[in-house]
Amino acid sequence: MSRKVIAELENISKYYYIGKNIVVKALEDISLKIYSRDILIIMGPSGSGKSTLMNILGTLDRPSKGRIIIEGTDVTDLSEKELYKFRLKNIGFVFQFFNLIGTLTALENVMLPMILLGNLDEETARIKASELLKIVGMSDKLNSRPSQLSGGQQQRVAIARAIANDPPLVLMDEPTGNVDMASEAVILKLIKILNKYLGITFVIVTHNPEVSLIGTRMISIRSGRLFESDKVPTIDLEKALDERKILELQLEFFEREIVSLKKLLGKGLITFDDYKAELSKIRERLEMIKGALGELK
Amino acid sequence: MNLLFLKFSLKMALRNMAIHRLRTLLTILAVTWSVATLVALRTVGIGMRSVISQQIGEFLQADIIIAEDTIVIPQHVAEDIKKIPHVKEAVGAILIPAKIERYKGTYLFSIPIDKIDFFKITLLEKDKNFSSNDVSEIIIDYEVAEEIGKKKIGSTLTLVISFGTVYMEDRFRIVNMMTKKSFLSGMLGTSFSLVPLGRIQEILGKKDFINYIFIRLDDKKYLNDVVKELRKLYPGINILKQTDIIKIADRILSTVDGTLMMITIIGLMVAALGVTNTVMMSIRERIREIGVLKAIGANDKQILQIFLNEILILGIMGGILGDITGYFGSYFLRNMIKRFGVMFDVPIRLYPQVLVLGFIIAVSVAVLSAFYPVYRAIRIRPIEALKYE
Ligand SMILES: Nc1ncnc2c1ncn2[C@@H]1O[C@H](COP(=O)(O)OP(=O)(O)OP(=O)(O)O)[C@@H](O)[C@H]1O
Ligand SMILES: [Mg+2]
Repeated sequence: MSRKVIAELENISKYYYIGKNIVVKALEDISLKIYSRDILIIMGPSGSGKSTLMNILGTLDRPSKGRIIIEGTDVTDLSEKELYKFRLKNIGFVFQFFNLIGTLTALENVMLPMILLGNLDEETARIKASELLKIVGMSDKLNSRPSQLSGGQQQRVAIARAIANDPPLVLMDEPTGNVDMASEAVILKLIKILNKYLGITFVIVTHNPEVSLIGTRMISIRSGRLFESDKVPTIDLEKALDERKILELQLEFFEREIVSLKKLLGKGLITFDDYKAELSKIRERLEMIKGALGELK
Repeated sequence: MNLLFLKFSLKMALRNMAIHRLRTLLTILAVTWSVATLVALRTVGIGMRSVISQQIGEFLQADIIIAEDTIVIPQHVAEDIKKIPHVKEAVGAILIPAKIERYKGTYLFSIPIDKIDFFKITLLEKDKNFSSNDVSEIIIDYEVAEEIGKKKIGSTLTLVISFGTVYMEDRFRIVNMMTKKSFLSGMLGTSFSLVPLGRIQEILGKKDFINYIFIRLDDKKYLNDVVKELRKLYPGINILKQTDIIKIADRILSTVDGTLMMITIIGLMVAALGVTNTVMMSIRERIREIGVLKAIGANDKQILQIFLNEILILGIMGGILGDITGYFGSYFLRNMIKRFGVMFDVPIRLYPQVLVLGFIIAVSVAVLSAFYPVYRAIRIRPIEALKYE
């Protein structure tokens, strides 16, 4: 079976020159083919060069040596101006620290890449953005600002934003590094769905072995050199996390939601009416989950 | 042009400014203040200049003035000058300082009573003149009358004249009042009072002598010819042309303008620093966002747009508010200057060129002072911006 190569790194090296004679070899002669529909997991100790590799792959940084071809385009020597446009269409980013635009609502954050590209009218962009937010389970928070969302919620919005312009490739640097376990489960499931149904290729840097479970292929980097892990985990998320476990995680998640909701009310960030409305929604879901758990027993 | 992004970036700018309300407000205030000073000072300045020539001409009604410090000009010289071609009228007078009610300074304008029309003075009671050339009668400013508490025509006041070796106190009867405060009285910070020439000559013991001659021509274009003729007839004479007086007044105003301009420039510098600081803070807080925007695929122009919106809003708001405040402030400024007693009534008008200047300066100050921080923000590389804590 020969699959389409979506991105190719050819003999990439990245050196940082600090001081007069000190050279940090962040990456050393890395060659890598990323296939379409892969979920490629990159693991490795801190300082091994994972983020450096991701930045080069995402055209945010240039290699000291070697070439990069993405979607058939050699991006190595593209100008900054050409790269902006290239990223807008071809690459989605999800960072460890959510990095939503604070002055924009969830909906507007997802609309932003479409508006930067400028190929859709406002209404179409709005509809598409709310569809995407529905997919990531955030349809009830369209008009919330990032500061009003939990870490996990922000990350889901960030994922919706990353796929706004239908890029073939999405890069995630520690996407679950700052979210709780329940949100992590939701996000991992989401990645799996987007990969399966929308055919998006993911490259995910992680320290978390649980995250690596969703990967279709795994590589590790040590001191700037790449090692292919021949043991490719092909574990189905549904099986890896059994139904009971998922339900329990969700239960935990919603209970935390209630706590954070109370905090928001206490700080005066939401009105009492909003609080009551949210609470009844969550209670409803809690009842459903408890019911489902009861049936399992 | 991506209009949709323009709309989006405007939203971002407005919300950011709303989040940092106080900072935004203070910056706009700084710009407003500096533009307002500029507009007010210019408005009053232009107003002052525009009335100067008009007022000088109106008050003096003379194209040429012969002026001596001491009373040495024989009175018949005025009649002789009248015979020079193109001289329409020549009025001899004595101008000396005096004190009303022993404390209120005034300039006594002593003129032949039949020549009172020459000066086109606005009187409270029309055509009410001195009864004769030798009586102790006086016409004072209406404001002065109010000040000394003798409001009525017909009442008397004490006039003190101390000139050279002469000292005299006498009661003078108020026969009329001048209703319009004149430019010169404003300039000199003192009032003018009219008295009959004969009575003053008597008091000073200078019968048939004067120290001023006011000359009006039938056509201003002969001004230089007449002056030449006067110099020939009376060598060493002290001649003032109306245009000279206007020039002197203009020179005084220019010095005042220069000083006031310094205040304006200092204000503008403060405003510029305010804008720089605000923009720098706004950028520093959002360096990570700049990184995210660049990573997503926003180009330099789009990043510039976001910050430019904020800067333009600061500049435009400051400009508009500054124009409005400055215009109304010019009334305040005028009254303030008036209270110092050295200025005449300045007409305040809306000068479009001043408002446009104020607005342009506000926007330019905002854009120029934000230029460097924004330039640096745009040049920052996405990976560095993303690392920024
Ligand atoms: N701008 C830079 N200047 C100098 N050295 C750098 C720079 N950026 C990264 N490095 C070095 O390159 C190496 C790889 O860094 P990188 O950030 O890629 O590591 P990482 O694998 O992502 O680590 P972590 O898991 O902690 O995020 C490190 O030794 C780091 O110190
Ligand atoms: Mg890293």
